[in-house]
Amino acid sequence: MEKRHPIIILIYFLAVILLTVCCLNPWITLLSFFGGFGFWFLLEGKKAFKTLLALLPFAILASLFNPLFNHQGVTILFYLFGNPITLEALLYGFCAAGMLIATLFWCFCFNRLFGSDKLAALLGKRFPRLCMFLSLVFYFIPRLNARLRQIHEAKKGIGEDAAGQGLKGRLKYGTQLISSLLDRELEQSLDRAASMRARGYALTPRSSFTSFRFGRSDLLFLLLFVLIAALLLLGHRLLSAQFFPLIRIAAPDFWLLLTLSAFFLLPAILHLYEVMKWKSLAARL
Amino acid sequence: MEILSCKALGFAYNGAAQAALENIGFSLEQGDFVLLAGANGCGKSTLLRLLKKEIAPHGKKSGEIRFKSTLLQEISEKESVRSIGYVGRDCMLTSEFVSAQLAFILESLNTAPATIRLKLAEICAEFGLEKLFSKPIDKLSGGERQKVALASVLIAEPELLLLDEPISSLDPVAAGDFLALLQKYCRRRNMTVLIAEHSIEEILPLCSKLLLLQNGKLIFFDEKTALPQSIKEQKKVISSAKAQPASPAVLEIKQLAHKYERQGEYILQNLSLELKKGCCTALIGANGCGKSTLLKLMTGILPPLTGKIKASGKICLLPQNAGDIFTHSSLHEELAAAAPQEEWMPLVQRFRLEEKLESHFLDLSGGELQKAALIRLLLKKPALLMLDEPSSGLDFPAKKELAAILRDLAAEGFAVCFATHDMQLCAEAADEIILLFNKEIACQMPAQEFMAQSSYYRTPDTAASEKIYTLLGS
Repeated sequence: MEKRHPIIILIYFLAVILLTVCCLNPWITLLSFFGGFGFWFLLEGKKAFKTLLALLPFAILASLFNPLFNHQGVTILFYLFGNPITLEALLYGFCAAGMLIATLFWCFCFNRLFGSDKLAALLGKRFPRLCMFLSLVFYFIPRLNARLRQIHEAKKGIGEDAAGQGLKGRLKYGTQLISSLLDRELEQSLDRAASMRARGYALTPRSSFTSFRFGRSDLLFLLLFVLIAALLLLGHRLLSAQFFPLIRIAAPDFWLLLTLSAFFLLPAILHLYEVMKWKSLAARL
Repeated sequence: MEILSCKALGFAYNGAAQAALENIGFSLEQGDFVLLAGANGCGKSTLLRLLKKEIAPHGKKSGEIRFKSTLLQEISEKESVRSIGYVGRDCMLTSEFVSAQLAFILESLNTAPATIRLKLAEICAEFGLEKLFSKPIDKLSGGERQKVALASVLIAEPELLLLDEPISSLDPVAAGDFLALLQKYCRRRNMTVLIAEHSIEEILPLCSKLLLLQNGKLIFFDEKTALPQSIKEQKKVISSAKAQPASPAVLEIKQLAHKYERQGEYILQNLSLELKKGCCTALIGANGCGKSTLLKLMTGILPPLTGKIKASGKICLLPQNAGDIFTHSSLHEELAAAAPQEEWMPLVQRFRLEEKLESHFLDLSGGELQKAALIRLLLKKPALLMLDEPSSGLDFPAKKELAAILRDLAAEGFAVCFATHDMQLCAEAADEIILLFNKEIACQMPAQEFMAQSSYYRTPDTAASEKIYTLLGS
């Protein structure tokens, strides 16, 4: 999936996220979650479960939020502070939380796949200055992290980190760290700007260099994608779900489920296919 | 052909009392490889920046600079970017990937993508960057970064190359690689090079001419063989090996092992050592052998995977970026927040930093910053003082001062341990040397004995530096 042309990656992820967010159907949410989390697991390994565990309390809180404010629905479970808590609202909450988590995992995957070089390939020809600016931003993010850790270790080395201090002490220490980081990075950014000016940042017009070319496998992927999208559009009425006042969700057709699974699990399947191909090649050597 | 000429060049920063450069006049022919030397603050960086139009500092400028007989202001911007290249010390890398960094200047010059591809292939072949081509820049080592920085300027094939301390923070192996590449490339294209550096010994063999600045004035510009010979040769004074009386151990390490990732390789294994009070120990070894990791483990920044570390006293570490330990803006604020005045004023006076008390620490020079950080560390009254690459980026006089400070601290009873790849500092400051190799300690012995019997780690010949700095000091 990583080797696909950036435009393909962009189209696919946009479509997946749009579908997940727009159709609040529990089947879609579930499959989207499996697709997103599955792909993230293939990219990250066992650490993916730690992320999931960290997000779980947030998800539960979000799902319980809905019944507190939404009192529509027919099946009343109990009364809280004089307001009815309905089953429909609770299930809607679960679905919405699931949708959020699924979208989050798709965003993680997108972030991992889409670096500054892919962005350059897309924007380069039309907006070279914007693209260079964004590539600077991408460069900064891991750097700032690493630099922050360096400053923290320096303070630890003289025994002045927030070890053994309460929450207030830690917060104060954290703000101190970030202030130090900004001081140094701003100073260095002057030198960095000078380096860019010295190499012609201010010159216009500007060309753009990328190493991504639209290949045959990209075309195949695009065709497959269009096919699945067409099928989904045809059967879109079956995807609608109604929560209020009664829960009425269309029982999913086998073929519809299959198409949906194919749609959401596409990157994971492609990744596994590449891994299998590599293993079989390696075994033959 | 004359490439560069300066006539009566003078420059003063806005609001500065003294001029940074006064009446500088010299000219460079095509193919000249000129070393620009001088003490810290003499105006080297200012001069180099003035020669590159896009990054010239703001201030009062007088005199004229001509590039190939055209005034610098009259050259078109595109021509200036293409024909004059500038490589600085840090912060030259501004893209996420090596490929983007290398292509940057050609993209600015609006070169066609096919030509860019060709030039990238050529420069990667010449510099050996093929393996690094699609790597993200933050995963590169220091030496690799400087190579990429150099390649990203040379890819446009400039006619004049300006370098401002490119190897000052590199270890000797990486510095040697860089200079070899530079020499090979420039000689083949008969490029004119003006390089400002402190490590005079490494560059003197490569250069044809020498340009010496002192307090903004040009005091010498000629073939390097024309250096006046009548300078009194200073005798090097190496600290005599003091027979260490049995002093109490401040830090004991037994069977230490550590690695960063569970699946990764061990960085240190089976390591045992002892650091004594009043002893100044140098920790040496190749780049990446684990010196910094060992220092971090000893200080307690990283918990060791296995092994015991017993410390009888406080340990403080001075990091490679000495300024990282400061939180307040000025030195005065920082010290006042840490301890009462009676404690830090004598230290400030000892290190001669009274005038710099009110300056922002980002304005301090490398040597001053390090001394300020040392004061901060000494206020914590540690038993063991550790320094990570303390001589990185310092010029010759500052290194001598640092060596003297470390010797004095050891004499006062502190245990001092520093990781370095600078043999000059080892020769002048260390009582004992620990050599780290292949995840273990290869040897631990008194400094004199080690250097006498080693064929690679020897006291460096600093005759050229001494000669030039005496000339500058006179």
